[in-house]
Amino acid sequence: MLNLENIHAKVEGNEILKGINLEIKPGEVHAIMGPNGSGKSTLSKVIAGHPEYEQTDGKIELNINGKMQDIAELEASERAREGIFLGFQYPVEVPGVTNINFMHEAFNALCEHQGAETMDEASFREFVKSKLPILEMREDFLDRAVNEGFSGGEKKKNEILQMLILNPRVAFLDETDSGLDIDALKTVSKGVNTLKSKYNAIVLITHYQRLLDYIQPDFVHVLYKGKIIKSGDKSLALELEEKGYDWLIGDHQ
Amino acid sequence: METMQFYQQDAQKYFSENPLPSNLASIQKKYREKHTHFEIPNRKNDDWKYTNLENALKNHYSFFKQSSTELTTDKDTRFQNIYFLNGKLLEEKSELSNIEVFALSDIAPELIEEVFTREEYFATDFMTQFNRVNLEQGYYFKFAEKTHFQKTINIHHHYSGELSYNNQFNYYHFESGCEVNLLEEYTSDDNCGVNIANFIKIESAAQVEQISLQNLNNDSMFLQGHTALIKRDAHYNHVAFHTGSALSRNNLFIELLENGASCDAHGLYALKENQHHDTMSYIKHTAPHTESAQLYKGILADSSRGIFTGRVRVEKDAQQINAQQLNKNLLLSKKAQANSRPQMEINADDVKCAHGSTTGQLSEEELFYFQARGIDKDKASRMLAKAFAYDVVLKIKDKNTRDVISRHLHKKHIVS
Repeated sequence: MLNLENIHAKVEGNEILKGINLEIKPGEVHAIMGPNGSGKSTLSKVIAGHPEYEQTDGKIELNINGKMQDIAELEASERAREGIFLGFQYPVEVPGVTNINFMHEAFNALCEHQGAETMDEASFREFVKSKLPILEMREDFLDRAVNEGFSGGEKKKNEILQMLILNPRVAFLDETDSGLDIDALKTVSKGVNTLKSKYNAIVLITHYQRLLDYIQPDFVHVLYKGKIIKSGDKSLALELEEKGYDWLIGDHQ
Repeated sequence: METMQFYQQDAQKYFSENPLPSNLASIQKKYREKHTHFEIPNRKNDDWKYTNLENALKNHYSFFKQSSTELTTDKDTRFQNIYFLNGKLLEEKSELSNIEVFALSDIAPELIEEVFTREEYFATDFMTQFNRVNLEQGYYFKFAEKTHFQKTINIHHHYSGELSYNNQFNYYHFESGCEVNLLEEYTSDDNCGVNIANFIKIESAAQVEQISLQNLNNDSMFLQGHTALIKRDAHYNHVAFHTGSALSRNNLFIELLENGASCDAHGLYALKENQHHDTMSYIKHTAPHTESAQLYKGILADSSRGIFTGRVRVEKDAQQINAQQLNKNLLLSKKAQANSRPQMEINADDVKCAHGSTTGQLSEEELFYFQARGIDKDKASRMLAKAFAYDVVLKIKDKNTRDVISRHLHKKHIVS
C-alpha cells in the first residue's frame, strides 16, 4: 500500500535520510526505532509532505484507487486526504480555533475528496462524541481551542482522536508514547488498536519498546544515520531493550 | 498644488450653485478665511509619515459627481435602520421614531461652536480642516436621557457616483444614563472620496457601543475623523472594522473628561492587494479614575499596508488611571507591510499603563498541522486568520452586530 524506495531527504541543507527502503502492506503494524537524531521524525514528516523537508531522491508510492502512484508532487493536505496520517510528537496549539471546528473541517475536506456527503455540525458532534470514551476524553475538550492548555497526555489523546475520526489508511505515529504516564499510555494504545484492521497500516515511531507491550508490531526496524540498519520481528525490540543500540550500530559508525 | 486647486475650485463652484443655510455658510466661510492655503500632508509630517494622501486626492473627487441610486432595502429587522446617501439623511426611509434628529443648520450656534473647538489634537490636521472648509449639511442626533434603546441602530452610509466627493458631518449626543448600541456601515459601489467627521458626546453614566464597518469600493478614499468626549461614569465601546477602500484613514480622538469615564477603542483592518489603512488614535485621560483599553489588529495580505499610531496622554491630575494598548499584525504575504507606533505621554505618577505591538506571519508549524489533517493551505490560512481576528470581533457586545461583522469577514474571504 505504501512503498518507500531509496528515500533521501534534506532539512535545512543537511541530508538526514540516506536511502530508506520500506514496504508497508494493509493490516501491518511496523515499529521504527532508533537513537535520537537517527532520522525517525524526519522520515514521518517527509512522507506527510512537510514543506521544509525536501525529498532529494527516491520514490514514495501510495496505492491510490488501486494503482501505485508516486506522491512526490502532492501537497501535505492532498497526501492527508489520500489517507496518510501523521500523529505529531509535539501537537501544535492553535488558539482561537476550537477542536471540534478543526476536526470538522478536516473531516469534511476528506468527505469532499472522496465524493461523500459532508456532515453538518450537529451530526459531526454526535459522531465525535461516540469516539470519546475510547480515549477517556470529556466532551469539553471538543470546545476548547486545539491543544491549547492541554497536558502532554491530553495532546496525544487528541492526536489519536483525530486519527480515529479521519480513519487513515497509513498512520505514522511519531513518539506518541513520549511523556505519557502508564495509564495514559494504555489509553492511547487502546485508541491505536481500535484503528487496527486489515485495511489500515500503522507505523509506530518510538524510542522505547515500552509502547510495543501494548501495540504489537509485526515488524521492527532500526533506523540509524538515515538508513534502516536492521529489520526483524518483535523480538528485535526486546533485544534492543536489553542491550541498547550500541551492539547494532557498532558496524555503522 | 494642482491637486488642491482642483478641490478649491470644485467646492467654490458647488457651493455657489448650492448655497448653504446662512449659519453653516458663515462657519464654512470662517474656516475658508482661516485656511486659505492648504498643504497636503506628506512624509515630513510625522502623523502622516506612512500614508501618501496626495495619491488618493489625485483622483480628483468632485461634489458634482455624486449621484442618486436606489438603495436596496432588504431590511434586517433585528435592527432599527437609518439610511444616508452621499452623506445626506434619507428621512423617509429611516426609522427615527425614538431619536431626535436636527439638521446642523437648525441647532443652536453654541452647540456647533462647541464641536469645532473640541477637536484638539486633530484641529490642525488636514482632514479636519478639509472637512470644515467643505462643510455641507450635517446632522445632530439626540439620544434621550435615561432611555434604553432596545434595538441596535444600524446606520447605513452609502455613497454613489464614480469619483464623487462626499463631505459629511454628524453629531451624536448621548444624554445622561441612556443605553445605545450603534452599528454604522459605510459602503459604495463606485470609487468614492469620503471625508466624514463624527462628533460624539457621551453624558454621565451613558453606555454607548458604536461599531463601524467600512467596506467602500476598493479604489475609494475614506477619511474619518472621530471625536468622542466622555463624561462621568460613562462608557464608550468603539470597534472599527476596515475592509474596503484603496486608502482609509481614521483620526480617533477620545477624551476621558470626568471621573469614572472609560472607553474601549478597538479595531481590525483586513486588507489585500494594494489597500492601505492608517489609524491614528489619541486618547486623553484628563480626569482621575478613568480607563482606556485598545486592541488594534491588522490582517495584511498581498501588497497591503496597515499603520497604527496610538498615542495615550495622561494629564497631571489624572491619577489612578488605567490605560492599555496593544497592536498586533498578521502578515499573509512577504510584500505586506505593517507599521506600529505606540506612544505614551504620562504626566501623572500613580497610573497603570501598558502598551505593546507585535507583527508576525502565520506559523509554518500551525499551517502544516492543518495540512497534515487534509485542510488546504488557503483554508488553513483563513481559519488561522479568523482565530487571529476573533478577539477583536469578541469586543462587540451586541450579538446581532457581532453576527453582521462575522458574516462580513467570512464573505470577504478574510476568515473562514
